[in-house]
Amino acid sequence: MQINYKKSMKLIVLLISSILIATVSATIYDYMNLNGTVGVQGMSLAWLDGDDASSAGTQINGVTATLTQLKGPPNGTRIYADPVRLNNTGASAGPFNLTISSVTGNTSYLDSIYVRLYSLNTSAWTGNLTVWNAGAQGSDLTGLSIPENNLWRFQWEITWNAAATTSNSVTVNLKIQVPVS
Amino acid sequence: MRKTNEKAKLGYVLLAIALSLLLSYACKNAFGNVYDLINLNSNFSCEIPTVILGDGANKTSTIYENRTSARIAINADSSALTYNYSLNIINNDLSNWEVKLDCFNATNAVRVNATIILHDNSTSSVQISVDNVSLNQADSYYNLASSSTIYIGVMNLIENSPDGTTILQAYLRMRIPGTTTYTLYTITFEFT
Repeated sequence: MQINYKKSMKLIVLLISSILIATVSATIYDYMNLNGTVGVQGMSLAWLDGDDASSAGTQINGVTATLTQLKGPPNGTRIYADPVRLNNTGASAGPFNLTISSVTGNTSYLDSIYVRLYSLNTSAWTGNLTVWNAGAQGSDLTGLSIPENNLWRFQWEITWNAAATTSNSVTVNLKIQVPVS
Repeated sequence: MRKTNEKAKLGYVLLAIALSLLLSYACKNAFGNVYDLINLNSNFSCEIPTVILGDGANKTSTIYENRTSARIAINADSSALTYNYSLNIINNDLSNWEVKLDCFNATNAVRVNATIILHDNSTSSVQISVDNVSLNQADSYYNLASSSTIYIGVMNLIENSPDGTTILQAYLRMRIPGTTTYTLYTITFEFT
């Protein structure tokens, strides 16, 4: 059998092009899945009010928790030890990543924002997310796993710098990524 | 003839590689990296501090911008010195607060003996004590009533060694009673 190399090369180029097209198309398809509601109903992770929900202005609406009243003095640190909790109601451990979606607003007046995770079942520290420090956004916290029937509290620590005033504000959006099995 | 077969084999190999690449990409995108998302949004604002720091009657402190941090500097001696009014803690809030001192960093601590207290002229609470052996913390809250002022006192300060400087960095930790929302101000004690 004779092989036509020109045809083979054309075929390979065509295949590589199709790979690139498939990659781009599939990436968009991923995001369509992420933004949809498919699978959310079956999730075992849910938000609950913590002891500081009142002072933090915690509002829970389905899969979204919003802390509406976090405040802090300039050149001082405010700690909300228990504004919101993550509850795993499932019968197995729930793996997840805690990711920083965005940090916007008057960030030049921020010293730092940290979110520290603690188990309310064992009181153990379970993770530390640097949301903002030294003028830059921190890195995502990956590979977390909350055991079944466990509650974790999300402690927020905010430090404004000395130049901050009451007209300054910052909005932080975090996301918990739960892999769909 | 043999050369033609080798070319044919090479062609099949190239084709197989291309098909494998296509298949692996397709599978990755079809089955990987699918997540459900839960959102945690927050909005922070800066507020006017309702509890502020002020220089005490002993004039031993420096108050920094916004009156939310301070440095207390005292020259220690071989004889005991007491400064009952090293720093004022002023509550302009209509709520009661509880406060305590948490030492988070110490340099040459045992160079001096000293007892650091919170008081309101009638009651007091020992917060930090240091001697030539160790530094100890009481870890107990002291009441800061609404619209009132309490004081940081440095009692029985004695220099054990003339060399160096003792620096104690502490948080003034404040909370509304019964809550777990805290505010931290940094207070630095410098004993030369």
